[in-house]
Formats: sequence, structure tokens, C-alpha cells
Amino acid sequence: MTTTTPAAPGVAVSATGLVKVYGEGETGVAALDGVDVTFPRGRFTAVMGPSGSGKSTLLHCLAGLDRPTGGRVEIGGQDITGMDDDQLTRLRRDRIGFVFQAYNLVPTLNVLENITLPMDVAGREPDRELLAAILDVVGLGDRLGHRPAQLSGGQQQRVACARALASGPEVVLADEPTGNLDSRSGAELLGFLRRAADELGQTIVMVTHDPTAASRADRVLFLADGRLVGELSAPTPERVLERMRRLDGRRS
Amino acid sequence: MGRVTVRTLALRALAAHRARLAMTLAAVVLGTAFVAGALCFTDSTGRAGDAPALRNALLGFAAIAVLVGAFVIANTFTMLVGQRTRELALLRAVGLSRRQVRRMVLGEAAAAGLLGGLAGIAAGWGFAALALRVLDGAAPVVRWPSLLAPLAVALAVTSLSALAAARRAARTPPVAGLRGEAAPPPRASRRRAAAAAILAVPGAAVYGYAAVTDRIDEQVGLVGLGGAALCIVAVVVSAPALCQLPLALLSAPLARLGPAGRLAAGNARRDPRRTAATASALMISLSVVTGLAIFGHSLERHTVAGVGREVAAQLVVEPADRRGAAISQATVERLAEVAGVRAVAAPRYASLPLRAGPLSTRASVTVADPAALGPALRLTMVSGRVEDLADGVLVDADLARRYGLSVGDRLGIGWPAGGERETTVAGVYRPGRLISGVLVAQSVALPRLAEANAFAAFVALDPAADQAAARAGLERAVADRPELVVRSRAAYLEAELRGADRILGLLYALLALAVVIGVLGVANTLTLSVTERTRELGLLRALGLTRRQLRTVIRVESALIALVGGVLGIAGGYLLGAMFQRAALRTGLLEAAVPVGQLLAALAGLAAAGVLAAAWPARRAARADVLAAIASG
Repeated sequence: MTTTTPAAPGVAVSATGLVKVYGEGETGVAALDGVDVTFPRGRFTAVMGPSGSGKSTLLHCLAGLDRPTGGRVEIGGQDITGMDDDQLTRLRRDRIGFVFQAYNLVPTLNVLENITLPMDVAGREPDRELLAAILDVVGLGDRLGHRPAQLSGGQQQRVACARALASGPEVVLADEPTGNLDSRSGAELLGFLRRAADELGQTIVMVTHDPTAASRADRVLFLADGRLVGELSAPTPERVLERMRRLDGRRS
Repeated sequence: MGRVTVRTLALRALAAHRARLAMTLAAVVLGTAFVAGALCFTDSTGRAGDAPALRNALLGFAAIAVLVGAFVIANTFTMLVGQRTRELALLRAVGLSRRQVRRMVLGEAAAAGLLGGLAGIAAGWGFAALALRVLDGAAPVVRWPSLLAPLAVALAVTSLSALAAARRAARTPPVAGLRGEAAPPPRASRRRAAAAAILAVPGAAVYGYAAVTDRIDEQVGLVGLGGAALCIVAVVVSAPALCQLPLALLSAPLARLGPAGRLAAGNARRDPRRTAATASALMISLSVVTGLAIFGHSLERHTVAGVGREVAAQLVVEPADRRGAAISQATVERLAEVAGVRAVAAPRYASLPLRAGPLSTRASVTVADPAALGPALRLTMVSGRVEDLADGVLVDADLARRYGLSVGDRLGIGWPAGGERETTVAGVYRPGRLISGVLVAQSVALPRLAEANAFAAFVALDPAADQAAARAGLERAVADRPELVVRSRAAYLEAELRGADRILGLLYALLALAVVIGVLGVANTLTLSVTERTRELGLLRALGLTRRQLRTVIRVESALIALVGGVLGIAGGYLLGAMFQRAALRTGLLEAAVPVGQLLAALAGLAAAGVLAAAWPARRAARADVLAAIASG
């Protein structure tokens, strides 16, 4: 189940005809309007789009945090759209790693406890080798006993990343992980995610509105008005920015 | 490496959030202390053989105390868990199941419930014991059920309210929690209105029946009180909607105070449920306060008027401390021989088996000298004459109604000495404080009673007699009994009033506790709501509200909530108090004595207490660092 072998072939996550409507009837707003997308295993994908384009909704639907109105989501070949709450909980715990923009850590647990929390509550022993490797990359070895409040914002986000990676999930989903960080901490965090994809073969999907952040991914997807409107391989900040400008122009 | 379990999470959460724990504990301790104190009072004064009216009042009070305590705890706990939406959402997102989150919150609640419950019982008992000693010189009575019940209440209420709150937290989508968007304040729903109607309609019907029926006794009174309680619960349930009206009325004048007033009114109206929860806690405690004040006031007036009506004797001989039946028949006879004495009434009381046709029961029996009824103790007859006592017994109107007795009916009385004897109902009289139940002539009853001492001897003088001389004569007659004193009628009535005052003192001691808890409840909720709104308050500061203005916003909001709770509480209290006094004193509902001045003072005091309760949260809100407040989360 774990994908520690680099560049394992196949599809980690896919969505087919994904629709999410908030509200009902005529007042309903379609946040996602028929999205078809696949995320190949071992790749680092960024999802971009203007605010209100539905990029966070996409991430939440992929994660089983939000239920789509229509379409299906598969994680590791398993359809998650019909799952009940308990199944979704287990799915999040065992097969998905999360990094949010803020408020990622349980304030009462120390760094190490936060990292092992999903496995602990599952009653599962962490893979010590993987954990050691991750802790080494995160570089917080001397702060494992600290509480989140004693860490800087950048350090907190790195702990969140370590937690997301530690269980060896099918996919790590990151929602604006650098949104609250200064540029240096943000760059550090992105480098960390990059290494996770390169060295651990970790599939990563990251929502962002920062072209520089997006350019660290293997591939950038563009969303507008709930639809997939473009894709960019081997992105650079300039090309991402240029594409975003065109999207904004199209909207107005 | 130690594994993090649900228990670890629960214990860490308790240890880490000291302020939160303190607030939870404060609520649990207060709630439990209230219940424990009330039960201890009930046990102790009940045992002391006080008037049944008082015991019933205290039992009713204890029942309401359970409600108030439960409410204070539930209120605080719901808000405390509500504050943690984001933390719970995070735990759900990283893989804790709904059940695990529930177990965690329940574990915390149970720990707080146990800790706070034990402390609350100690505090409640301490308070009750102290008050009993000061007011009554009595020692508290220990009964295990009364010790365990408050603990059960504390555990059950913390767990239930935590469960309800955890369920609500589980229902908010994890997404919303993580993004820091609080769930929109739910609007007063139709379901609440329906539930309120379901409670209020039968409640009002039952209350109405108990209010107008002429068959009023303890049972009917309890039913009526139940009806009042249903109505009050209905008001609590529909409070989010009900609070809108007085708030809307008060908003207009507040807006004149400037931006702070407008903001305060807006805040109070914005989240009707939070406002209602705070106001309801106050409303319930004030209902109890008002109810008891009305009861106490009525009891006092009733005692003075009733005893004044009953006692015709110019002098009364009784123990100086007014405790115990100390006057034997020999003493009574000696008193009767004193020059100038016309008649001596020394009523004795017993509770004896009674048989009326097929019905068997126990009834209170009063024994008196027929010759003294009239000159010493007045009797108001409903049918028959006092003189008819020679031909049988007289029964009071309550007893007659309950067992369908009328003049001429046969009645069997089981005497301690001599067994059952049949007799005839010769008349029906209105019950009083001194004479009630089955009234039997002394000559018939005395030989058959086991214990035949009287509490007091009421001495009627000859119209021509010199009162001072007669008094001196009486004093000489009981010179060998130094514990007995001779009192004038006025002195006797005053002593009787002091007895009622002692009862009132007990009630007011409980009231003090209720008011303190109510005010602390407001402070608690306000502190919580200020913490909840850190960002919003910071934004207001950033936009140019001065610290002073911000403090005013919180204070005005607090006073507003207190006033709304106060007005609703006094209305509910009238329902309770009027029924209390009607059931206990057998009076009409509208004969309730309303201490208007005290109630108005209570209302003013409550508004002031509201401002006072806001002191700490207001300071906290004003101190909030603008930037930190906006950046937090």
C-alpha cells in the first residue's frame, strides 16, 4: 500500500465528471462543474486558479472531506464517493496526508506526537525507517519534544508535512501550505515537498495561488469557474504567471 | 516513544487549557454546590419537623436547583466545545473517527464532572451547614442519596452536554472548521417553536386548572408547579426567538448612546442562541428567586393575619425558646385557677389512624377544651356550631372535602390507648395554623392520648379582670417552671413572626446563592464569547474603536442580556411563587403577596450585576492586541 518506491507506475488519484454544487435549485452555485483529472503516482502536481475557481473544493472532494454532488473520485483505484463517514475517516487516516494553510497541529501534543498522531489513533506502528528519513529531511531532530507554540510558522508547516508523509500515504494533499509563510520559509517548505516527491516517490497535490510555488511542481493544472482550463508541464514562474493573466483576462 | 491515545488527547487538552478547565470547573462546582446545598437544607430542615409548607417549598426548590445547576453546566460546556470546532475538525481531518472524537470530549467532560462535582458537593455542604448554624443553630443532616444525587447530576449533565456539543461539532464539515469559518449561527428554528408549543400548552392547561380549582392541596399544587415548570422550560426552548422582542425594543434607545450602544445591541441580537442561553440561565435562577420571595412574603403575611385572626387570648404561656411540648394538663389546670382567667386553650396534636366509611388513612388530630374555643382561640365554622363539639368531632374543610365528609357522617379514630372509637362529624370548620384536622374535645381525647403535653397555653381573661394582676398570677403559677414565660398577645404574634423570619432567612440564604451563581454564569458566558470573538474585537479596535468604547460595548451587551433574563425571570417567578403559596397556604392564586419593591430592586441590581459581571471580560477584550487578534488563526 505504501509507495516508497520512486516513480511507481500508475494513477494515484483520479476524478471523473466531478460536480459540486453549493445550495439548492436556482440559487445553487457550482463550485466544480464537471472536472476530469488524474494524478500520476509519484508526481508533484500544483493546482492553480483565481479565487473562487473551485481549487480548494477540488482538493476537499479528493480528500473525502467534502462530498461531491456528482461524479466519482478514486484513490489508489478505490472509489471513495460511496463511502460512509467511518470509511472516509479510515481513508484519511491511512491513505491521505494533509497539509493545511494554518492550524495544522494539535496544540497540546509535541512535535513527535503530532507526527505520529494518525498512526497512533489507528493503533498502527510507524515505519521507523521512513520516520527517521523524514525527520532527517525536516531537520527538527532537536525539537521533537517541543509544543507547536514554541515553533516558528515555517517550522510548524514542516511538522505538518512530516505528519502527512510519515504514514506513507497514497497521496499528500496540501492546501496553500505556504500561504501564511514568509518567502524564505515558503521556499524551504517547497524544497521539502520537492524532495519528498523525488526521493520518496510521494504523490503530492498542492493548491496554491503563488506562481513561484506552483513552478516547483512537475505539472500545473489551471482551474477557472469550476472547470479545468489548462495544464502546464515543466513550469517556470514566468510561464505560470503569464497563463494566470490570460485566465484573468478571459474572466473579464 | 509513547503512543498518543484518545485518553492522552483528552488529558492533555484538560491540562493545557487551564483557563478553559477553570471555567468548566467553575460551572460544575457552582451547579453542583447549588444542588447539594439545596438538598442539605431540605434534609436538615425537613428533619427538624418544620412546617410542611416549608418542606414542600424546599423540595420544589431542590428540584428547580437541579434544573438551574444542569443549565449552568450545560451552557458553559456547550460553548466550550463550540470554541474548539477547529481543533476537533483537525483531528477529524487527520483521521480520528467520529467515535474517537466523541470519546475524547466525553472523557474530558467526565473528568471535569467528577472533579467539579466533588468540589461542588463540599462547597454546597459547607455553605448549607454554615447557613443552618447561623440561622437555625442546627447541625446539617447527612443523607447518602442527597450526597450522591449532585454528583450524578454533575456527571450526567457534563457528559450529556458534551455529547450534544460534540455531535454538533461532528456535523460541521471538517472543511469549514479548518478554514476558520464558524458555522453560521443557527436561526431560531421551527422545530424549537413546535417543541415550545408542545410544552407550553399542557403546562398552561395544568397550571390553569390548579389555579382555579377549589380542591387545592399539596398534590394539586405540585401538579400546578409542574405546569409552571413546563411553561418556563417552553420559554427557555423558544428563548432565541423570544429574546428578539425585548432586544428590539431596547435597541432603539441604545443606538442613541452612539456606536458602542449600536454595536452592543447588534451583538446581542446577532447570535440569538448565545444571548438566549445566557439570558435563560439568569431567567431560571431569577424565577426561583422571585418565586421564593413571593412565597416567603405570602407566608409571612398569611402567618401574621392567620394567627392574629385565630388567637383571641390576651396572654400566652409557652417555653421561652418556643421549642417542644412542655405544658402538661396539670399546668393547664393550675393556670385555669388563677384569678381573672376565664378559659385556657392548650391544643394538643397527634397523627392518628382515621376510618371514614371504606377509607382508611392517617389524619392530624387537634385536641382542645371546647369552653376555650371562642374566648381563647377563635374557630370559623363552615357548618354546625362550636358547641356541637360536645356531640362528636369537628373536621376541617380540607379534610371534609378530601374524604367527602359532612355533618352526621360516622368516623372511626384509632386512639393510642383504648383502640378505635366511633364518633360523629358534628361540624366543619375552616383550618387554621393552630387548629386543623379532626378537632376532638379534651375530655374525650386526653385519657386516650399517649403524649398529652401542649406547646402553648392560650389564656383568655374575664372582661373585668386586671391584665397585669392576671399576668402576675400566671407567672406565680408557673414559678416552678423557669423555662416557661407569659407573653402578651402582641408579644406572641411577634415571636410567631420571628419564626417565619427564620424560615425566610433560610430561603434568602438560598437566594443569595442563586443570585451569585446567576451573575457568575453571566461572567462565564461573556468571557467565553469575548474569547470567541477575539478577531472581531481586534478588528473593531483596528478600525478605530477606543478601548473605552470597546469596554462599553461589552458592558452594555451584558446589562442588556441581564435585563432580558431578569424580566422573563420575574414573570416565570410569579407563576412559581403564586402557585407555591397557593398550594402551601390554601389561598387563591391572586392572593399572592408580591414584594414589588424588592423585585424592582432585584431587577436594577441585576442590570448593575450585568455590568459588574462584564468587568473582567471587558478588560480582556479591551486589552486584546490589535494585530495579534487579527492574525490569530
